[in-house]
Order: sequence, then structure tokens, then C-alpha cells
Amino acid sequence: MSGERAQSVIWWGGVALLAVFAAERVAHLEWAAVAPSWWFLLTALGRSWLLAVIAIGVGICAAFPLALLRVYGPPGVRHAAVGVIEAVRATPELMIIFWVYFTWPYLAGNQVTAWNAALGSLSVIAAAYLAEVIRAGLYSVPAGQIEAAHSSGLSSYQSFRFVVLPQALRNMLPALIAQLVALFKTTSLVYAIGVMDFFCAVNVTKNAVFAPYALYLVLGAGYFISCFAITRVVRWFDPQYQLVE
Amino acid sequence: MTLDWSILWQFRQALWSGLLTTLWISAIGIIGSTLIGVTVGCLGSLPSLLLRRLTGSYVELLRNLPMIVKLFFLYFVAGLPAIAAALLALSLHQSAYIADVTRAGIRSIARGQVDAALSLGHGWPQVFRYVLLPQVLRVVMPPMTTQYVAVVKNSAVVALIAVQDLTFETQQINVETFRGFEAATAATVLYILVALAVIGTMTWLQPRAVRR
Amino acid sequence: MIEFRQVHKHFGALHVLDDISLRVAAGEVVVICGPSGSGKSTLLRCINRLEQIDSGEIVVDGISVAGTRDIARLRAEVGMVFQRFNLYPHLSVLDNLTLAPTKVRGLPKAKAVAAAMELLGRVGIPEKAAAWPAQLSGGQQQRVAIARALAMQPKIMLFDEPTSALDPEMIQEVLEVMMMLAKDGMTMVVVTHEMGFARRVADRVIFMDAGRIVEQGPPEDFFTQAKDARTQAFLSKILSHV
Repeated sequence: MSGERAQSVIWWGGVALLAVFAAERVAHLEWAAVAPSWWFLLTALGRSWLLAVIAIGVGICAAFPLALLRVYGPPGVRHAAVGVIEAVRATPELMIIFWVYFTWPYLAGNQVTAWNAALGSLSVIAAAYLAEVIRAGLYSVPAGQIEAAHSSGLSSYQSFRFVVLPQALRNMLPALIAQLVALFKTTSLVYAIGVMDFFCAVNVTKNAVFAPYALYLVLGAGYFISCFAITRVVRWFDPQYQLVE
Repeated sequence: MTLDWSILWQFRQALWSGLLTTLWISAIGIIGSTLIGVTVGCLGSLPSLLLRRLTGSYVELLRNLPMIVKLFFLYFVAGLPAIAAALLALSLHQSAYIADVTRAGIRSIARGQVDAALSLGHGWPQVFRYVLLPQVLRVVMPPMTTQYVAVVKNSAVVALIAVQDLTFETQQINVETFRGFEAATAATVLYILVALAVIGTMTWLQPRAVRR
Repeated sequence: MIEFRQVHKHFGALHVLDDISLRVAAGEVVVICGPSGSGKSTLLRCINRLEQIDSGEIVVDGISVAGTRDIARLRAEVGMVFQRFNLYPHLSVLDNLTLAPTKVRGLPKAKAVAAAMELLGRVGIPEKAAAWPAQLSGGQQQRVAIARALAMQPKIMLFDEPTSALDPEMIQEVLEVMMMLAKDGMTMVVVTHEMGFARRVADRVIFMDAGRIVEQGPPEDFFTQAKDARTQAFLSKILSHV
């Protein structure tokens, strides 16, 4: 369509113009003040990643049994699983972080470091949200698939492992990406209990040197690139996506 | 370990005013993000490459930045008053998700509906107003409910710029009495109740919005 | 009434309309047939700019389709009926018929309702005015869709395989409504494989293949003495199974 081509030209022209304009503005930001902190900021971004990766790892390990209990568990257990998952999902993430931080001393009798509290709360959040993603994925496989698997002689475990699970994993991919990105963004909230994550580090630097725009550009870029990378990396594992692209 | 729940009664005034702040901030956040999000979602559904790219960039940019980054930028860097920064950050943040929900809802309506309406001479505003949005409303109510609960949850972040919402008051109680556990428990229960109220309202609205 | 001048259109690498030139006179009934993917539906959809053309020109009722700034006005004069009916599922039958007249033409509601009821009578289902589209059979839905298009009092009616999605026993009731329209002098362009309809009603039959008009003529010639091999092959397939 000729209209499409014209619009495409306008779009890329606009993008180029904006890029030139932005580059000029960005070049004049207070980089000299920020430059000495680059290693500090980079390690802090690494710390945010570490938080996210560990929380996702723990979260997935906890989410699978939770989701299976919610879908296949006996009635009492099922309701308990629903209760836990939904309660966590209805509570603000910041509240959960505070909650773990304050509750730990009562449960364990000793103080908890902010880092461990951050890890614990992020893992709880990851577990609840990922359990929901997995449940939706399991439900997305039509019942006829299990019937077909059973009728071809596969055991219950085999039908789950070889028929239901592969389809469920595929179907849950978009929601999984959304949750992983959401989780990475949530790591920014551990700032509230004093963990030196990327968000915290940028704000600490901002209080030390006067370079708000440069620092917030770094902040935004750090999160945007990280989240974008998560989206791309997860999609890269999807064979169907590779075919489409 | 000894718990002292009487602390909650002692600070009932603070909790109550915090809850009210959370409620009205969330309400405005819900309205604001819906207005922006639905508009962006509709624009992105028009047969225009330029609009698709523009709205797509808007959504992509906002979705990949944490809410707290937007909030702190508006408050500390752009210098808005705390309440204004809170409302704007909340609305902008969720509008990206609501735009996506709207766009997906519109895409779920058969292309033939648009063809039919256009062939009868309706302009795009009428196509949206009379043909698409009434049908989209049926499909988007459940995902919208999720988004509205998310607004309530994200509103907790505004406590970090000293807006005196429920989370902020919880912090205050902890600072004054070191009874963080009791206060956080109470606040969590209140947040869950608000979420349930949002879900209940949307469930109540669903048949009423669809029947017309 | 409708004129195509050297119209070309591509979908990516596919040349869906390849140098189409065509005139349809006022009151004429033209049937277009051809194998799937031959471009016949696209040709129809270009007439009211549901599809844009790459080059050439289409003039409808003296207005250039590509050039007009007010495409909605042109579309209001050109009714269209779709394979899948495309009734609005959230509106009653009556509201389906009155939406465009009231919102596009600005007709008072009462007048639009009266006109709609008369049209429902003409297509034979006045008792279904209050029903929802989902409660109707396919044939009834398609008749409502025709009535909805007629409610705008169009000068031209386009039919895009109007009976292909119908169960066999419902095809006749839709064709009868279309024959009635033709008898009343409506200008019609019909994409269909209903050759019985073409034989009885069409002034001209057009055969398309691979984006080109291969052959055209009055039905008696078209069915008995088709010259092109592709037309003959197509006709033998489609007529033998009838």
C-alpha cells in the first residue's frame, strides 16, 4: 500500500530527527559528574539482575508445586493454594517487601539483612505470579488432548509430561515474559528497605552529585534495556517465534 | 514473641486516613489510566502505520520502566508536587497496560464488523463508538479488573515520596512503635479488601455494561 | 455507474488485480466468478475502498474512489453484503438496520424504524425485528444483512459470496431476495458461484483468474461458448457438481 510506505518514511524520518535532537541534548548533560560513578552504577545494575535471577529461580521451583496443587490437588489443599496465591497477588509488592522485612524477626527470632529480606519477598512474589502463569498454561490445553493421550495408552504421568506440559509451556510464554519483566521492575522497590540495587544506587549518586537528567537517563536506559532483553531472550527460546520472525 | 494488636486501635485514625488516601488516589489513577489507555489502544488499532508505531513505542517505553522510576522522575527531577506526581505516574504507568488490553480486545473482534460498518458509511469515530467498543467491553472487563487491582497495588509506591497513603501510615506506625508486623498485617488485610472491592464492583458492572 | 481503468493491486509479491478495466452501467447486474484467490473479492472491496489500489483509477457514480476526501459519503451510496453476514451481535435486528441511517444520514429514529420495518417485510422476516442476530438462522441473518445495506438506500449493491457460508437449504431464500432487487433495477455486482442465479438474473458474467479478467459476456454466451480454456475448465468443474 502506497500510504503505508509514505507513513513508514515519515516514521523513520521522525525517529532520525528525534535521535539527532536527543543526541545533541544528551551530549550536553552533566556526564563529567556522573562518569566517576560508572562502576558503582554498573555493579548495582548487576545486583538488580542477581536479585531478579535468584528470585525467579526460587520462584519457579515453588511455583510448579503450587500450580500443580491448585490444579490437581485434593479440595482442602487446592483451596489453601488458591488462598496463598491470590492473597500475594492482591497485596502491593512494596507491602510484601515490608512485610517480610518486619515479620522475619518474629518468625526466626533474629534480625534479617535487607538483602535477604529482599530476596525472600521477591521470591514469594515470583512464586505466586508464576504459579498463576503455569496454572493458566495448564488450563489452556484442551481436555481432549489428555483423553487422546490416555486413549493411546500413555500413563497419567506420561500424558502430562509429553502431551500437556509441552503445549502448556508454549501457551504460557507471553504471560511468562510479562511476569519476568514485571519481576525485574519490582526489584526497584527493594530500595525502600535500603538494598543498594540499581534504583537505589542512582538515587544515592544523584544526592552526591548534581546531574539529575543524566542519571535518570541512565536509570531509564538501564531498566528499559534490561526488560527489553528479557523479552527478547525468552522469545528466542520459542521455536515458533523463530519461524515467524 | 509477643504481639500487641491494640496498637491498631490506637492508630485507627492514621490507618483510616491512609486508607482513604489510597482509595481516592487509586480511583483517580483508574479513571486516568483508563482514559489514556483506551484512547491510545483505539488509536493503535486504526489502519495507520504511523499511529501503530507511535502507540506501540508509547506502550513499549512505559511498560519497560518501573513505576517508581516514573514517580521519582516526576517528583524529584521534573519537580511536580507529590500528589500530582503520584496521580500522573500511576495513570501513565497503567495506561500502557490498558492500551494493550484495549488493542487486544479490538483485535479479537472480527474484521468483518469493521468492514460492515465502514461499508455502511460510518466514519472511524462512529465505528469505535457504536460497533467496536460495545463489543470490546464484553471481552475486556476481566483483564481490566486485573489492571484496576494493579493500580491499587501500585499506589502503595507513592508512600516513598511521602504521600500519606496506607503504606505510608504503616511505616509511620512502625517508626513510632516498632510494631511493624502488626501494622503491615493490618495494611495487607486492608489492601486485600480493597482489591476484593474492585473485583466485586467489576463483577457487578459486567452484566450491566454488556446489556444495552 | 462503476468504472475501473487499468487498476493494479498487489498483496506483497502477489499481483491480485492485474490491469483490470471494467464498466458497469446503471441498473446492470454483473456476476463475477472464478477460482479462489483469483482476485474477485478484492475487486469488489476496491469499489468502496475497503482495499486500496496501487495504480489506475476507479470511478463510482462520477466520484474518484481514490481521490475523494469523503469516502464515508461514497460508501453510504454503495451497499455491501458479506459472506459471513457481519451483523452486529450486540444490537437487535432492528438496531442493526437503523444504526447507519440515524448516525450517518442523521435520520430521525422514528423514520428509520419505519423504513427498517418495511425493509424487513420486503426480505420476508418482519417478525424478527426484536430478535438478536445470534437467534436467527444463517439465511435469515443474510437477509437482515441485505436489508441493513438497503436501509441506506444505496445506488449500488455489492455481494461478496453471499451464499457461500449458508447451509444448502437456506441458499434459495437469499437468492430470491437478490432476484427481487435485480428486478427492481438495482445496480448489482455479485461475486458468487451460484451459476443458476447468474443464468437467470445476470446481464453479464465475468470470469477472473490470477488477478485478470479472462472472459466476459452475457450469460447465454458465457455458459455455452466460453472461449478460454481456463473458463471452460472452471465451468465444467462448477457445473458438473450442481
